[in-house]
Amino acid sequence: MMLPALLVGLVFGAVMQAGLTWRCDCALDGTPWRQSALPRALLMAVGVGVILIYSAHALGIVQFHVKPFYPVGIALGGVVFGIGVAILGFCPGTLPIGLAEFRGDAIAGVVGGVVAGTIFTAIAGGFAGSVWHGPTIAWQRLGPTLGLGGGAELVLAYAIGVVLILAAVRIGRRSALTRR
Amino acid sequence: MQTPIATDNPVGSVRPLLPWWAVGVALAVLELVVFVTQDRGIGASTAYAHIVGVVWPTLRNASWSGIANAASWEEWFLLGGFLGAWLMTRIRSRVGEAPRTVPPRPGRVAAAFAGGFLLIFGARVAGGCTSGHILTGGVQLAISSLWFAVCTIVAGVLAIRLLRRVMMS
Repeated sequence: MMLPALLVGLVFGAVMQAGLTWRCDCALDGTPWRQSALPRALLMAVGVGVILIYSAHALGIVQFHVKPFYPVGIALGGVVFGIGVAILGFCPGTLPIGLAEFRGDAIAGVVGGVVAGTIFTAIAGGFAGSVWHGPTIAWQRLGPTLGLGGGAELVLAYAIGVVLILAAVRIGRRSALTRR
Repeated sequence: MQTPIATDNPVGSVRPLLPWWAVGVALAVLELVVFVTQDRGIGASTAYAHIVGVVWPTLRNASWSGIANAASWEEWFLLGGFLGAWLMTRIRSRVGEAPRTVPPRPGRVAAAFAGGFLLIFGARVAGGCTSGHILTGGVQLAISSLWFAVCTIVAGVLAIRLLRRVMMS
């Protein structure tokens, strides 16, 4: 378990550093988000990834691992998380990449994150049944939620993948045109 | 012209060795490899909620035990991320492109601590982060992850606009 995770992390860290996509420069230095490399790379990753994962699932190679849908808690957490990204300019996965350059803000971000994580682990037992968590709804993937299954779900996934890839390419072009 | 929020950002003078689209394709392939070989997706935020319990056993509780498996994988993943990025930084320095890291201002350190706190607290409340929800959940078209992405992007964009106004005033 340790070695595969370490190797995956090695490739992840090297690729993100090579592409300078390890921090959200739209948050850090005022770069317009359309020109920022990280959002575009993420859009491309999800677009290509949807096509790869759904193809692999259709071939029986992978199983889906979908997180539960509790809209109130996820909305609350998503808003707090988004504000955190805006202030810090890093995500949890890219913080160690900032650490590799021994950046003071990355070190402070990791310390703040560990403090928050420790506090949450201490109170997590009470959170699951609280009003802040809210009810869990049995919706899992977009296709079955829309009543699609089998080949129709695969077509939907491919269509969304292509749209995300085109969006990743296009947001940069639109930005260049706007700046002219 | 936009007003910089942080002036200690060293990346501006360093060129990317990979274009953004190649990073995106590489992340997608890496996600597929993890799904096929590990029967799970990439994730990161659980590690931050677990690591203190590893070195300080008195803080362990039922919630800590519940996340132990996932968090252990993520701790090794994050360590790998650090080492991979450090190696790439060394390669950059060999070709004369070492990132110039400037010591941050005290205000930036305090803001980064607060940002890191909100980042991980929000991720634990939502049950995932950019890696676990937006990337891993996104490629599965998971409703929970798509909802998380919408909430995060709306809040993040509004917060960035507000921060810029505060910095300009």
